[in-house]
Amino acid sequence: MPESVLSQLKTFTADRLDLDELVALATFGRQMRSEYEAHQLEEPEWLDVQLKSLRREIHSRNADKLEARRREITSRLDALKTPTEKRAELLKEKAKLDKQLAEVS
Amino acid sequence: MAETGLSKNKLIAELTRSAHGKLNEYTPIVTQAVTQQGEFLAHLVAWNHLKGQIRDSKIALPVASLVDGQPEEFIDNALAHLAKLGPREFLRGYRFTMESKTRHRSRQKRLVHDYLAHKEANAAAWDRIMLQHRHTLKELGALSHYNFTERTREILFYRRYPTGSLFEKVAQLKDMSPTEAAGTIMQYKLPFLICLGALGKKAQDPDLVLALINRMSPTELVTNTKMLERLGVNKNPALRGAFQEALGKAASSKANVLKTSVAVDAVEDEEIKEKLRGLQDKQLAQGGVEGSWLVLADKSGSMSQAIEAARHVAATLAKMVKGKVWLTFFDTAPQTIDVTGAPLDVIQKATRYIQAGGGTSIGCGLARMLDERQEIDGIAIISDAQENEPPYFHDAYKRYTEMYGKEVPVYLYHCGSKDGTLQRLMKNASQDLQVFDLPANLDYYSLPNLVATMRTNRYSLVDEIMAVPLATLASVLPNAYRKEVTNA
Repeated sequence: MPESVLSQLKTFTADRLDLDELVALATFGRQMRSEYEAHQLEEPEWLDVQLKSLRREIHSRNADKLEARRREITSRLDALKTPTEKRAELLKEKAKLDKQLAEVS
Repeated sequence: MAETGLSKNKLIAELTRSAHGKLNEYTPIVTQAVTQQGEFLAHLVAWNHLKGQIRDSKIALPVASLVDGQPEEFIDNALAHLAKLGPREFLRGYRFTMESKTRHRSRQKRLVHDYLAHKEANAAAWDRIMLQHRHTLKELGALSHYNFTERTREILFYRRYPTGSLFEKVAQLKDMSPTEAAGTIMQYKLPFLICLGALGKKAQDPDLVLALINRMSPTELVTNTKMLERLGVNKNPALRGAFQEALGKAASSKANVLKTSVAVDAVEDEEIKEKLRGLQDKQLAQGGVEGSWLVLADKSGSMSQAIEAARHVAATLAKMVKGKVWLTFFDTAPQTIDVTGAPLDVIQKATRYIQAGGGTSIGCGLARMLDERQEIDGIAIISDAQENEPPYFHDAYKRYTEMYGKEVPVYLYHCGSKDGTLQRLMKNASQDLQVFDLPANLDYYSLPNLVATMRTNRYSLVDEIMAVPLATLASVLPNAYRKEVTNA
């Protein structure tokens, strides 16, 4: 198994992989790194480069996912508002506008 | 033993070809199959409904099977598979029965009534069907003179919607704020296409794009990628996250491999292209092909079509199989590339200087595998089969069989109209050859579908098809047909 995972780790295109695959590759890469350390071998240069780009990609994917979920929840909450709540919000906005207009004129 | 599977194979190959809406293109071969392979055809209808990727064939096959002289079980199976279709396809099927003047007209009309009555019986599901298929249902009702219930008529024809219903929510979408509309779409799981129409230009708001992505089916996601690209799906973090999530869900869908190829070509953003290619890899990996394969591509004179088709076949196999895949271009000498796991663009780049020219020795590619002692489980040949130079394929195949003690299946993707020497020589040597005829105007997007039907055991696909049970109207529309059984 390691042969195909190894070649994948060396040549992966991040956009083609899903989050699970990225995490699996990062796990394999980190295991490799610790084995190099355990055997006091010099770590290949590509491993560091690939692990860094994996970490960056996983981080950005996770941030995107959280942002998507946050916006989804905001929209859902907006849809759950009662007419009274919507009315109160509009009145609040109107009061703010009245105040601004008074300052302008 | 060699030729018994041929007509079955041709029938399977026919199913994988997209008719692009011209359903009557399936009629000649199905009519022929009804008389020669009636039982196989009935199981093929059932298998195609489960595994097929071409929607046209799912409609045309059962309709074209409705001919006189078939056992009642097969007719029932064909009607049952029509009843399994969604409303839009069901209407196309019914229209096709009218155009082609198929037999059993009264049963088909009754089928429409039972289909609509069955759907109408489940109120919640029926509301969603009405929401999405208003025009289809009206047309089905008009064509078959079906009497809808009062409530359905109010909604479908007079647009008078019950308070708090889905229809009312859709009508209100355009007056809501973008966030509220987005929340409503997700809360009530409103269908993507309907929302898109109801929202108009408002649909470009990021909150609404996110909600629409959330509600897209895998096929809708793939076919609308170009639109999503325009709406900034790769620029906005939240949209990017939602798109990635939706791609993850689409990866488990088998329904849209062909559409994914089209979408890759349509979009311009390289990152989105890569994401779609990743999706296609995952979809292809679900194909049922096993083992290691040798793809023999004819690069002799005037075989440009074979060269391009071979790239597509090799790329599809490379993604589907867990074993190795070798792509060998031949004229009178082989040129072999290990394409295991390689995507189409990589294969195209690696083989961009291959040009058609020279004589034809199909056997030279297999002879090379023999010399290198590479074991394979299947062979795909893309050629016009006009072999005119030694080593001949049937000789190399015989040597291969003796060396490894197994007869691996050989599939010929035949470019050309008349039989070549390959078919004749293999027939004379009592060797089996499965032939797929490639039309001159080959649709490359439908090739993966054909590749997916190849098996390392030559009879396993036929066995697989015959193992799919026939459907009955009593199981698909239980309310209507159980009543009939009881009455009888």
